[in-house]
Amino acid sequence: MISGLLTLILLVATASAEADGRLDELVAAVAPDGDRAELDFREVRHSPLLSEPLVVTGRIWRDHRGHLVRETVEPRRATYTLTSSMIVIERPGRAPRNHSLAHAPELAVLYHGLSALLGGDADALRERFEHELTRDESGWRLQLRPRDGQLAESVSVLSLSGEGDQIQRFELALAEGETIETELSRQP
Amino acid sequence: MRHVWRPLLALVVLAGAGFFILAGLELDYRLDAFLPAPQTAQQEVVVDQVSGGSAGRLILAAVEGATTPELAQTSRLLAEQWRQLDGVERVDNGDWSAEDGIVDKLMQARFVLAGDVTERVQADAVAEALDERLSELAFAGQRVERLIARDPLGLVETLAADLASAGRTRSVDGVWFDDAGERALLLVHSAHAPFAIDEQSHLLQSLRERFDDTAPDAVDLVLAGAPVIGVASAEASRSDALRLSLWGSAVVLVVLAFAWRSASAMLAGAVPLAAGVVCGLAVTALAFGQVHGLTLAFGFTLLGVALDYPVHLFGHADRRALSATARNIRAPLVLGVASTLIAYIAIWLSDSPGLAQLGAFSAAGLAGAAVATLLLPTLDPALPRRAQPTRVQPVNWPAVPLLLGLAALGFLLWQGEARWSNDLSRLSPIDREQIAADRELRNALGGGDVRYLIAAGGETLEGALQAAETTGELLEKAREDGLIEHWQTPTELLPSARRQQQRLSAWPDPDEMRERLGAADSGFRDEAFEPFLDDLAQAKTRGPIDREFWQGTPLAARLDAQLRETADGWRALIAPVGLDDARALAQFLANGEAPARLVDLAEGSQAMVAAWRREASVSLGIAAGVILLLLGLRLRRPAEILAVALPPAAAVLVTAAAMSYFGGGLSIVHLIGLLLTAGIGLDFALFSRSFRGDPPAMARSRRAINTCALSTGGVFFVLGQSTIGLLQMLGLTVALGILLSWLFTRIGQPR
Repeated sequence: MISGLLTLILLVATASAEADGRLDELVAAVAPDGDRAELDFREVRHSPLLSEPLVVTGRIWRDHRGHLVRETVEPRRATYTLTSSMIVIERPGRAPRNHSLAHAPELAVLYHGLSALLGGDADALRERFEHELTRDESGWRLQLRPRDGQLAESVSVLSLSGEGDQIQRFELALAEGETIETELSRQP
Repeated sequence: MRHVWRPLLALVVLAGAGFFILAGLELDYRLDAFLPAPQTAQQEVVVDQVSGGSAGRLILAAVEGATTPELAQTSRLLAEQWRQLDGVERVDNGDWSAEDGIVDKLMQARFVLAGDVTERVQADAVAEALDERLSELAFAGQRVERLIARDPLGLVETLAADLASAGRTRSVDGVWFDDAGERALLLVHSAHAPFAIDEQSHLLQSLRERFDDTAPDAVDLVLAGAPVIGVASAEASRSDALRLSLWGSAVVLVVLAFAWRSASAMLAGAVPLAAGVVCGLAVTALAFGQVHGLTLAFGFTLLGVALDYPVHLFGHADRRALSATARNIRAPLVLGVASTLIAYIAIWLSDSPGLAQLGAFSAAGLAGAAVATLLLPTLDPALPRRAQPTRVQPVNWPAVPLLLGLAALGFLLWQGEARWSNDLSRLSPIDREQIAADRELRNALGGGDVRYLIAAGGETLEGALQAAETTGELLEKAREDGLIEHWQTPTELLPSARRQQQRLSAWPDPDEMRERLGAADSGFRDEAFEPFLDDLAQAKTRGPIDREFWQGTPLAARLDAQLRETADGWRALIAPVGLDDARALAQFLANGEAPARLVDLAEGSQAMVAAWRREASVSLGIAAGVILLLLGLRLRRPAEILAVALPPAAAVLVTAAAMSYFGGGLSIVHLIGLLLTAGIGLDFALFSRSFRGDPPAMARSRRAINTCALSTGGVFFVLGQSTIGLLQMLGLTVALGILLSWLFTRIGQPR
C-alpha cells in the first residue's frame, strides 16, 4: 500500500518534471533568435453589429525593450505598444494615447503570455500562469490560465498552438463568452 | 481690599455683556465686505471672484514619487475616495469613466452640444467616423459594442475629451499629469466658503488622511490652492497673535504696575477699555446686525487710544478725591475724544461696509471708554501710590517737529503715487513661498492664469450665452493670430437656446440619418445603429437643454461658477488658457466689438484698493479740517492751536514718510495705524498743554504721558514683531508714531 502511494507520488513528480522540461523546450524553440522577429497576424472578430466578421490584420513583435508591439494594417493603420502596465495607442495624424492595462485585462494577459513566450522566458510564464502543454501529431497546444485573480475574472484562458518552433494561432477566451481568434504566420 | 471689589464687579458685568452681545452677533468672513462698493462691471467681477468665486474653493493636488502607471492608479483611487468626503463638491482628475452620470448626460445632450453638425453628417465624415468605430471594435470587441450602437459618430468621446481637459493638460492613462509625466494632478472643489477656515482646515485634514490610507508609501501628496493658503495663514496668525498679545499684555501690566503700584487702580484701569469694547460691539450690532471678523481685529486696535484715558486720570491724581481729578482733566480729555471721534465718524461714513463697521465700532467704543473714564471715581478705586514727580525745565524747540514734518511732507509729495501700495497680497497674511508653489501647480495643470477672465454680459441668461458665443467666434480668430491657445466657456455645457435650435435643425431626420449611415458601406449592419437613431428622434422632440439639465452632476458646479447672476442680468465668464499678451487680446476684443471684456483680476483689485484708500484719505482729510476747526473754536489762540496740532501732525507725517520709505509704500493698514497715532498724539499734546499754568499738575501730566507712551507704545512694538506682514505693518507704524508723538510733545511745543 505504502509502496503503491510512493509509486504514485513518484509518477506524478516525474510527469510534472517532464511537463516543465517540455515547456522550457517549447519556449526555447519558439522564441525568435533575432531582435525583432515579426509575426503576421490575422484576427477575426465577430459582432452582432457587423454584417460579416471583422478581419484585423497586421504584425506583432517583441521589441528590444521587451514591449509587445501590435501594428494593425486593416481595418486601420495603428500601433499598439503594450508594456507591463500601459498601452500606448498611436495613429497617424493623432496624438498618442496612454491607457492603463488595468482597464483591458485581455491585453494584459496577451502581453504577459506572448512577451514571455517570444522573449524565451519560461519562468515568467510559470509565475503568471498555470499552464498545460499537450502535443499530438498535428503539433502542440499550450493553455495558459492567469494566476492573478482579477485577470482570471475577465479572461478564462489563452490558448496557443503551433507546430515545431512556429506559433500558428492563439485564442483568447474571455469570461463573458467572447473568443478572439488570431492566426499567426512567421514572415518569410 | 475694599477698593478692589467694585472695579472687579464692573469688569465682570462688562465681560458678561460683551459675551452676551458677541454670542448674538453674526460674524461675517466675506472679504468683499472690506472692499469698496464696485463701480464698474470689471470691479463687480473682481468682488464676485474674491468673495465666493470658484477659485477660492479650488484645492490643487499633485501626487508624485512613483512610476506613471502607479501614479495614475493612485489618482483614480484617490479621486474615488475623496469624492465620498463631506465638504467635497467634486473631484476632477481628467478621468470620467467613473462618472456614469456625466456620460449619460453627455449622451442626452450631445446633439445640442456638438458643433459643426452640418460637417459631421456629410457622407465622407460619416464614413470616416464609422471607420473609426470599426477600429475600436477591432481593438476592444464586445466592450464597446453598446457604445458604438448608440454613438456611431463618436460625439460623446469628443465632447468628454474637450470638457475634461482644459485643452492643454497632458493626460496619461486618462488622468491628468504634468508635462514631465512625473506628477498626477487632481482638482478638488471644496463645498465650503473660502473663508470658513475651520471647515476648510478639517477638509484638508480628511483629504490627507484618505491619501495616507489609499496611496503607496513612496507616493507623496502636495496640496495647494486658496483654501490651503487660507488655512496655513489662519493657523500662523492664530499662534502669532496669541503669543504677541500675551507679550503685549505683559508689557502693559509691568508698566502700569510700576507706575501705579496698586491692584485696585490696575483693575479700574481696565474698566474703560472693557466699556469701550462693549459699547462698540453693541452699536455695531444695532447698526449693522453683523460684524466682519476684520472689523473686530482692527476695531480693538483703534480702541488702543482708550488705553491712555485711565492713565491720564490716575496720572493726575493728587491728594484730592479722584472725582476732583476727573473734573480737572475733563476739558482736555473731552476735546481729545471729540477730535478722535470726528475722524472715526468720517470712516463710519465710508462706502465700504467693512470700513463703515470699523468706524462705527471705534467711534462708539471710544465714546464709551471716555465716559467710563470720567465715571471711574464712582467705582472708588485706590489711588496710585507714588511720590510727586519732580519738575523739569521744559524744552521748547517747535522748529524740530515743524521742520521734520515739512521734510516728511515734502518727501511724500515728491514720492507721488509711489507712496501708495495697492498690492492686495501684502494685506493678506500669506506665505509667499506658498503662493509660488500654488502658481507652479496651477501652471502644471494648464488651468492657465486665474488672473484673467473674459466677461460677457447680457440682460437675460440667453443674452449672456449668446454674447459668450459671439465672443467665442472672435476668440477663434484670436487663436489663429496666436493671441490665445484655448479657453473654457460656459457655452460648452450650455449653448444659447438659439444655437441649440440651430444645431438640432441641422441634424437630419432619423430616417435620413439611417440612409446616410447605410450609404457609408462600412461593414456595419443596416440596423446596427437603431439606438442612435432613437436618441436622435428623442433629442429633436425634447428641444434645447437648460441650466437645470446638469443638476446633480459635477458639471453643475462648473456651470454655476461660469454663469453668474448680476444685479442687472447675467454674466458668462470665459477662462482663457495660454494667454501671453493680455493687452493685445483685450485690444483684439475691443476692435472686434466683442460683447465681452477681458477682466484683469489683479489690476482690478489693485484699482479697487486704490479707490478704497482714496476714499478713506478724503474722509480723513475732511476730518482733519473739522478737527482743526474744533480745536480753533475751543482754544481760540493760533499759537495754542499750533502747539496742540503740531506734534501729532508732525508725528503722523514723519511716520508716514518712514513707513513709505522702508515699507515699500503705504497701504490701508498704515492709514489705520496713522489714524490711531494721530488720536494718541493729539491727547498727548492736549494734556501736555492744558496744565501749563500749574507746574505740579504739569509734572504729573508729563509723567502720565510717559506711562502712556511706554505701555501703549510697548504693546504695538510687540505687535510689530509679528511674522505676519499685516500685524507687523500695523504694530511698527503705531509704535513709531507714538514714539514721535511723545518726543514732539515733549520738546516741540512753543514756549
